[in-house]
Amino acid sequence: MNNPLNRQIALYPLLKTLSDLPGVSGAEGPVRDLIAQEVHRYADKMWVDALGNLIVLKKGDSSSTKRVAVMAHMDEVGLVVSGADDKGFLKIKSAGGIIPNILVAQRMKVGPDGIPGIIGYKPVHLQSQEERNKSAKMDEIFVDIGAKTEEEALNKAPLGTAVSFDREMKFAGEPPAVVPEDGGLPETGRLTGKAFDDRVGCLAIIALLRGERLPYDLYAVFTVQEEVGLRGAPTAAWAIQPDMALILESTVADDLPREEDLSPTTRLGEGPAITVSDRASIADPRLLRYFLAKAEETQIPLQIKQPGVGGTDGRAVQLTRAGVPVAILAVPSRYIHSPVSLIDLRDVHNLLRLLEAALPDMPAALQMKR
Amino acid sequence: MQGKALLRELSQSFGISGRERPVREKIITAIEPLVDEISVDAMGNIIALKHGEASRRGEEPPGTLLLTAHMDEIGLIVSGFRQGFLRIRNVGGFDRKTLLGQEVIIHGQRPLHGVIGLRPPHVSKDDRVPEMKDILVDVGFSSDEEARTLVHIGDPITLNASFLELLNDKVAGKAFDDRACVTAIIEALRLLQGYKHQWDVVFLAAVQEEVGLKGSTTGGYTVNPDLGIALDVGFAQQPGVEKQALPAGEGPVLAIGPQFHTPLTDALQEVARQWGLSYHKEVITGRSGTDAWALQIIRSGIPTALVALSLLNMHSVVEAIQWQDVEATARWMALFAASLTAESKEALSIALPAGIEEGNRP
Amino acid sequence: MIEQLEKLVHTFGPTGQEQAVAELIRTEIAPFVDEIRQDPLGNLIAVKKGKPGGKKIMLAAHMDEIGLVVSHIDENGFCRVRPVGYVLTATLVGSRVRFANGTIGVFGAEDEDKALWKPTGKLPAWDKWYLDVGAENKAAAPVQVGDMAAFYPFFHQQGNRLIAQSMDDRSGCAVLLAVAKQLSAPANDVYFVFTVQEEIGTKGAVAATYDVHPDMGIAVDVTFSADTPKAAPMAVVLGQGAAIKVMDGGMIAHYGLRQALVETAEAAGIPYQMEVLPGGTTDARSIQLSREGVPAGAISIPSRYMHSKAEMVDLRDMIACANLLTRFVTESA
Repeated sequence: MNNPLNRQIALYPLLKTLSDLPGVSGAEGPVRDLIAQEVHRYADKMWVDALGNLIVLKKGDSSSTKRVAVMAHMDEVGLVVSGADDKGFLKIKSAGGIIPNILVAQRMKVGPDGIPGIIGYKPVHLQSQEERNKSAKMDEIFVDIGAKTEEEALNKAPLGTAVSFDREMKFAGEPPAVVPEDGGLPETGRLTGKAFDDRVGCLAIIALLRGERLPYDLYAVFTVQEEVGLRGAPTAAWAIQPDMALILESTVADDLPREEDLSPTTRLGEGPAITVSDRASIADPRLLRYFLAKAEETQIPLQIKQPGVGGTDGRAVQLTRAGVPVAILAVPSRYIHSPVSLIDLRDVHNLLRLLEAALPDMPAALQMKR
Repeated sequence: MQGKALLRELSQSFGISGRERPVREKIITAIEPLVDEISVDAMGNIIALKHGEASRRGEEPPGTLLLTAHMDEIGLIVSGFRQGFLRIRNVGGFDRKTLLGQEVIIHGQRPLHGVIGLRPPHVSKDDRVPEMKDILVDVGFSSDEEARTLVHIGDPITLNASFLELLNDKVAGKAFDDRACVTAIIEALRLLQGYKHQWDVVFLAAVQEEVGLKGSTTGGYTVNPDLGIALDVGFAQQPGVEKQALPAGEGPVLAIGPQFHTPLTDALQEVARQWGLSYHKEVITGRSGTDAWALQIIRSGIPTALVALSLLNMHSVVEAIQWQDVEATARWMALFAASLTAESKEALSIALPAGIEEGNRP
Repeated sequence: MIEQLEKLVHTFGPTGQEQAVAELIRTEIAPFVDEIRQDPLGNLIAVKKGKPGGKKIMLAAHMDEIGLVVSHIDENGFCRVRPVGYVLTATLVGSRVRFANGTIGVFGAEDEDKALWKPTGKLPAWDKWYLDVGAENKAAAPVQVGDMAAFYPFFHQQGNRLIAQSMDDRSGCAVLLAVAKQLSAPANDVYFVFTVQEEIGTKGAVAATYDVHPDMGIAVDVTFSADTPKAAPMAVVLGQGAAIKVMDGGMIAHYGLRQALVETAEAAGIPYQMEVLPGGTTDARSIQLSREGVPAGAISIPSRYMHSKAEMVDLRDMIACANLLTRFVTESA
């Protein structure tokens, strides 16, 4: 009996390392290097393409001629150095969608060496009542690394240097009473950290690569630059020419207390979420039905993401060459695109269980009626 | 523990206004080898006395100098529950923007890790800063019932942020307001170990400054010093604050203005001149918002001065200072304390015109 | 307790003119205490001696209620007034007030554009309000500039709910009287302090605490509740027990004292709730800052419609407050 995907050893420290590593769009190097280290021994072939996507082939057992791509993005939202003022404060631009208010009073890591930096803001005492109620603007955001002059600042952090949140993954509340000694994922608990979007998808693919050989050739794709406009995924898909693709993501859980009875998009703890449609794409109906049926059959909770929110690599892959059927599964996360996003470990477990149950027969889904 | 390591230790300690015990214990440990007597009063203030030469000989000291800085930090408090999330009230003044995306520690039965999130841009087009009543702490509880087993209304919450060393001896962290000044006074006491000083020196580490200068009001009454110097943080130049502030790293700032006792501020400047210490002056004519404001009018009045450390990003978890300013402040305070003599009390009082005899003071 | 509360709310006592209330309380409390005095500001201090070696515990409730003071009488006999303490203007039109001499005044407001008749109309500023004392001209006015008035007194019980114009803080005074009555052989010296001038900045307590110089102090006052439709969020509910204060706009309660009160309530099975009040404060603020500092806290009676002409409290909460205080001063050391 093989060890189930969600019971693999050392997944928990791996998730922490993945979430804590800096990997702002365009500067995914540290994440790519770690993943390559983790998966090379399971790879039949592994390469990095022109944009920086990491592509890993794990051959099938020859019973199927299909090619399946499973994709997750390595990059996270962050900042990029765009200049410095004469007092040595770094000017920045955002890479990916960040609300400036979330940047006020944050600690950051600047560049590949992780130089510590802070984002200050005019003290509340000096703000007018109006300013206190006013949101911060990107052009008011400066990163302070302690440099005294423009020259010193740009010497330490040249234009284009990536700046990421400085945040460690932690358990919300307190750690669960039972933590597996082998570093396996604890059964329950909620985690806070900066980059579950989409390192949790990366984790799931690493687990797949470590797991049993599938009937078909599995192309694991760790993409770059998802957050700045889905740049990495289409080139990888173009090269692989998959028969179908599965995107593993982390998506918005908006299940916060609110007065109005509005869609929570997804809810924490109610299983991974499958996309019917988002702002960018409509999922392949056969794959959608296939996953829903598998979840029903195996009693694994699976929720439908409320349509209309967000967009993923799915869109880019879907429109590759003659088109690729795509399904999107995601771990719900509160407060994504902030340093304190929050996920529920049960959702990670259930994603891995669902992948284990559904992946071997996935090509069969395409035989179904549209 | 001393120097930067001491500041790190104090900055990372917890102690919102009214619940200062953890940081108080850390301060007591740090000053125990440096002073002769330590007491904690009803409010929780630390009153630490270092004897001068006269007291050591068992004689009446020629005077008592009070150095005070506050140990409390701004924070939050649990005020209720909502669907497993915690409602909060602020203790001390916050820019609500500085709360978003932060980690917090809820000091309940056991410390709990929580976060203050923000709805992401995918679902929120709302560009306003959330009102305090709408800012909730997420500890990952699924229901109020679950929350209530570990958290109670009234539990204090502190922001959680690491201490960072930036370039050029700039350091950043939480609660530098006012623990950078607490550190400066402790370092002054350390310097005084090597000096002979005639006056008694009392260090008042005050509580509840952030909620209305409470600790210094009562602590100052107890100490009843002859001279008082309050040390607190002031605004440093930073983006958005170019005009209202002084640059960090060029020495402490001495406040000049009606509330600040002129002979005392003159004497401080004289010591600085003598020893070649650099400092800035800042004119403050109204409420300084510091313990100096309370100290001045205790009992029959205390000659009071205010010395400020220039701080960036006040009241956030990335408060930042130039470390050399702390060292310069410590040196100034120690040299000033050592400069006080048997004649100083008289010399630093406000005199009647020459030739008019003083009557008996009540 | 209800009988005494009814007497208390019917007694005239706006801020600065609390003497009638003081005299009523003196009569009521005299049989149960060892000593009574009134200080230069008018605070009434009644002492119940405890056992030797006990502590000095000060319990404070304020006698004054919010009121109005006549600032000008016009030729037609209408009186212009200023508020004494924070008076809610939302319900003033047609409200009755009473002066010390028994004169009744009715509130009116300048309303040229009939704004008061529109559901979204803005409330007039204080200089637009006037009191109609029924005078046809200035000479006939039965009151003078400087005379004070308070809302017209009434008392009503409906089930457990009690309604009156001055629950703030006559309900606290009634609680203190109940404690004095219940108390036998306390471990501590208990100073029942009925303070003046709380509503304009907890003034009376400043002087009284300096005089008493207690080891600890507890104020008994009303607080807001958040159990009404769309009330601002707060965790206090009418009828769910004594509200032990964590903090308010003016002070943070002494942590040790607050926990001791919680433990007393827990041990005795007295219903209580925790109060985090945004804004507002009580006499405890003044007690805390007296001399070298006094451990201070407060026990609050949840109240609806505070500072209006009809404030509502719950009898069960008052009983809980009285029992908690009685138990605390009897036992604590």
